[in-house]
Amino acid sequence: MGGGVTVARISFLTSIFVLSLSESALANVPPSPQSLLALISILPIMILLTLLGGGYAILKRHNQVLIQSGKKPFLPRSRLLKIGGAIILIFISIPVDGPIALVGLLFGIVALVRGIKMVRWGVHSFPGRERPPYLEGANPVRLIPAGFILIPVALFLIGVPVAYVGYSTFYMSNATVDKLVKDLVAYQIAHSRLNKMEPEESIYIFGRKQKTWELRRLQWNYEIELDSAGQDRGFKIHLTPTRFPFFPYNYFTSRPSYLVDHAGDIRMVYVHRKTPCPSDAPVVMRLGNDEIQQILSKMHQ
Amino acid sequence: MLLGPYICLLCFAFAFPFLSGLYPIVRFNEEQIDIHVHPDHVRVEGQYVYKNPLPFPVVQGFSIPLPVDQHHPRPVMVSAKVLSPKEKLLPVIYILEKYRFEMAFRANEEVCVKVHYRQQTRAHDAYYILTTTKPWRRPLIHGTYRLIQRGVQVRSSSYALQPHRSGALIFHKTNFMPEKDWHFTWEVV
Repeated sequence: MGGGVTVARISFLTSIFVLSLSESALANVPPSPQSLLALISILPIMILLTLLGGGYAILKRHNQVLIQSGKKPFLPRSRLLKIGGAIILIFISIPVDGPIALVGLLFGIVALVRGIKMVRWGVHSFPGRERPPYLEGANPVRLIPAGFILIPVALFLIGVPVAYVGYSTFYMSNATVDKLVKDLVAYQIAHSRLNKMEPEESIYIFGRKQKTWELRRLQWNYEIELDSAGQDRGFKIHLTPTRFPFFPYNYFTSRPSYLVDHAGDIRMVYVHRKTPCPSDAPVVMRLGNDEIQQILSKMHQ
Repeated sequence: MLLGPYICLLCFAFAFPFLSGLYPIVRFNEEQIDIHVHPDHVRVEGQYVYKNPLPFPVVQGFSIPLPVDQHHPRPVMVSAKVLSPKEKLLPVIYILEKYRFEMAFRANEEVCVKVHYRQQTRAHDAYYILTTTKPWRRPLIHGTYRLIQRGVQVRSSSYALQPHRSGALIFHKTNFMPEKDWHFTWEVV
């Protein structure tokens, strides 16, 4: 599932460039942008900026110079072959989760190289500078801005898989976390009421009842902070998410941060970085006695 | 004259409305919405039937917008799974303030997806958003909407409900392009 999540994240994040306003508003499970758009969005951006910068004419002349000097261009000469290659790469990566990230990365690197080249060509085309023959007629006023726009866009795209690969490895869906939190609270409440157990102790037992790897994943993703009120066996538990993609990618996703108490109130807010849930956050779930009993009986089966 | 880049841009412009979700690739034909109404929360189980009308495989992205306001906090335990043709869980991610998932369809394939969430309510009322079936650009062929009362009694509904022998309250619609959302209230018994 990690790979799928990575792909989905990459797709939605990269789609931001071209989709900031295009998605339909509220709808009943409406259509939404898809991964493929992310994969190919960098290509039209690169083509458009290369056209605006006048880069294709330079590329053509540059390739001719390379061929005349006996060197082979890095990519196939025929533009048709390049386009065909890109399409084949896209189609190969669609059915399999992993390669889509690598293909996205590859396209990002190609776009970055193009952006740097355009800036370099622009600098070498300044009036008064000695320019190579393939830069005859090149316009620095078009080349440099186009290159400067393309570079950050490409860098952003390259950063997406880097930011999300580690993050997604142990990613837990919010629904899984919600369920674990609910079970944990039920268990905590039952034991603190019935067994006069210390919170740390009941968490340990909870871990044994649950599948251990699920609790480990929860602990890897969340800082679980217990605050026991002592004699009255009241308690609060902060579950604060600790794993986020690095800046600025953390602002495109968010994780739930929880605060739960002995009354069975589960409060939650979505956060972009490690932030404890405030005590006035809305109650998103309230566990009644019946529900606690149900959860416990399921766990003990 | 450079034709390649322009052809590429043209192809992208053609594909963009479909890839971006502006124009859906698959058709949304049917839905069955079951809402379990508890004293302080609702549990929504929606089954949605989509069909790929094309003779080749396609991928469609989906988002799950949820009715959130100051009286209705964010739903939790949001999950989605394919019920047919083959049951499997769908990875649902929360990104850009929405839950989203993606699904591949075979040629002419019909797929039934189940979406589940739970929402706490402060007042004894809840919403289910119906009006925005519009992005699908076609009316629903058939829709069934049920309220299952769990220790409550439904007091009002913006759509007329009929009692069902199962004890649920129900309404059906055919060729349905909703003009209003479904709002209902209840009291604890």
